[in-house]
Amino acid sequence: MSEPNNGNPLFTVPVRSVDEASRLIARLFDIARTDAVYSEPLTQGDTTVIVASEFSVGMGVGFGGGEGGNPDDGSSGSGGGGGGGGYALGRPVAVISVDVHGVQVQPVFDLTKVAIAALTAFGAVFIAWRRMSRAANKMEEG
Amino acid sequence: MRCTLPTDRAPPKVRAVCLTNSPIPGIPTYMQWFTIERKLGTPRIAGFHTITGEALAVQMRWPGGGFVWNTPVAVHVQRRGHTVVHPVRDLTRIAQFAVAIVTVMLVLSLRQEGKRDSP
Repeated sequence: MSEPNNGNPLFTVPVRSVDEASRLIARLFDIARTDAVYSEPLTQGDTTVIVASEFSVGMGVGFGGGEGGNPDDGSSGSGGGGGGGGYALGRPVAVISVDVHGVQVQPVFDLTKVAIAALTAFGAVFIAWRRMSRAANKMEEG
Repeated sequence: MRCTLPTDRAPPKVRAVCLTNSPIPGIPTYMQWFTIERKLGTPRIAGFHTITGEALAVQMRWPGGGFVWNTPVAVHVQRRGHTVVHPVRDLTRIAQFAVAIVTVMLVLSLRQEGKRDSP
């Protein structure tokens, strides 16, 4: 097995056996720690900043194999294979700043995500309205 | 169902809700397939304040895979013996839910309009 790059990435490690896959899946649950969500405090002058982020990771692997033979000539063979996939998502949710005035929790608003959701919603409403208009027109013609 | 976490590593103020099987000592690990935990992290010192993060973690495990969702829910700020809890609001998620609810309501109202207009 090759060494992981900088000891960090989860998904760049080649998986060559079921045991390695099990170890990789065990590492998946490391991010369930509370400390994984909050960054280390960054201090600049009198201000300290901690970033709170949301993480979501999913992963699945599967292995299979089989063997068979030909009774006519007595030959036999076997084969196997495996595959897997996964995803990882992380995004900042809030920034906690500590200064002489106290502690402030400032939310991080991702306008792009909301705009994409709004566009998708607009599309859904438009399609629904169009279907209903067509159905109404057909009824009028009928 | 309410349960407790192993106390050897967990911080003192730990709240855990384990809906099905929980990390209670004595329960086999392979049965812990779905867990919801809300727990505090390591206290960090920033200036005169001690800041402790609280997070909600949802874990699902199955043979050959798993899923983890971990999100911050609150920050506990301690100063001079007093602790103030600041909730962490995910504005992006709230806005996404609002858009989804408005969309569902619009589609339902359009359907109602269509039914009313039809003979």
